Amino acid sequence: MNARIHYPQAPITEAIIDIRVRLPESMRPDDLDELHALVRDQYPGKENRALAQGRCEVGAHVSASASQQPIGFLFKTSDEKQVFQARTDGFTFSRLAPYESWKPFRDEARRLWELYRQVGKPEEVLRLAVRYINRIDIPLPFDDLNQYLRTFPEVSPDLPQALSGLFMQLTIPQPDIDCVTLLNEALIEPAHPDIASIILDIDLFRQNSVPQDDAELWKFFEILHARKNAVFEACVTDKARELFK
Amino acid sequence: MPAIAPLPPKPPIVHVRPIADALGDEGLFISKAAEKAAEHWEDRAQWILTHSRESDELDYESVPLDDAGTVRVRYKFAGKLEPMPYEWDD
Repeated sequence: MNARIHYPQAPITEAIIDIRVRLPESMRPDDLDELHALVRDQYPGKENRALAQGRCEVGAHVSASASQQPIGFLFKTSDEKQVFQARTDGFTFSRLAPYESWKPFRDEARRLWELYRQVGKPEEVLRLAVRYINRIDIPLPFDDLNQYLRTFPEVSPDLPQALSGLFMQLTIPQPDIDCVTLLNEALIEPAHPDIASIILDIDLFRQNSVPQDDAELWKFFEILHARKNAVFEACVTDKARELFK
Repeated sequence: MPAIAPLPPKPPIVHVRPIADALGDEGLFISKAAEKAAEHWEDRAQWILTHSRESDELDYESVPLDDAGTVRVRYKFAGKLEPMPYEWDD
């Protein structure tokens, strides 16, 4: 797998750093509101985050119930391009397009994580993930997806080759770094009729032997980021790379 | 060609719902598509997979049917008909 080069028109529509934790039992979702005072200048927007749960029982009697449980807050910049979620189950930092580069993204995530850690006092870090969602706009017409992608569903040549819908998910173990890549690929409504838009969503995570120490944790994010780049490069062709230049 | 690689940790090998919440349109599209796939999985494949793993010997077990009742019907021959239109999009 090749190392990543910097693309002037990278197809990244969203980059996410996600850390799942176990907070002390005494920690209530409202306690995380304290974070807003610390980030209000950069993240003035605030929304509640809730976990919606539905239950349906079918038997002699049919019953259904739904409930919403508050789990924390979402803080966003005034342009809504950067979003920081502080929840009782973890921390998520998202950067929506335009994405600049890894360094400022990681540095901001780390700064916010340190605030989250200070307020939430997590007892254990359970899972680390980086997720990059790319939208690759391929000019029409083209003969075969394999001109642009190296990971895609293969359709028998005995079947019509035109696809009007596509959703593919691959779970690929990465045993050398004790991680798993969850790779989603989908065809999405294009912005213009003369292109086909393919989502290439790379979610790379570790949930075993997760580093607990901050220095080790962020060192491991470097490994996740490098591997995510390698996965991306492995999934696209040179013809696709031309689109990002 | 890809091979099937067993995941080292616990079964089942299902991660259809991405855990790191995405907020953009593309991410939401993936979440919905994954949710749909998850429903499909849970309705069908997961029952078979989890039950087959309970035993070392792979044994056939039928998928339990949904509750069914009896419906009385009466057929009436209506003559020879044209084939119904077939929608490729269905």
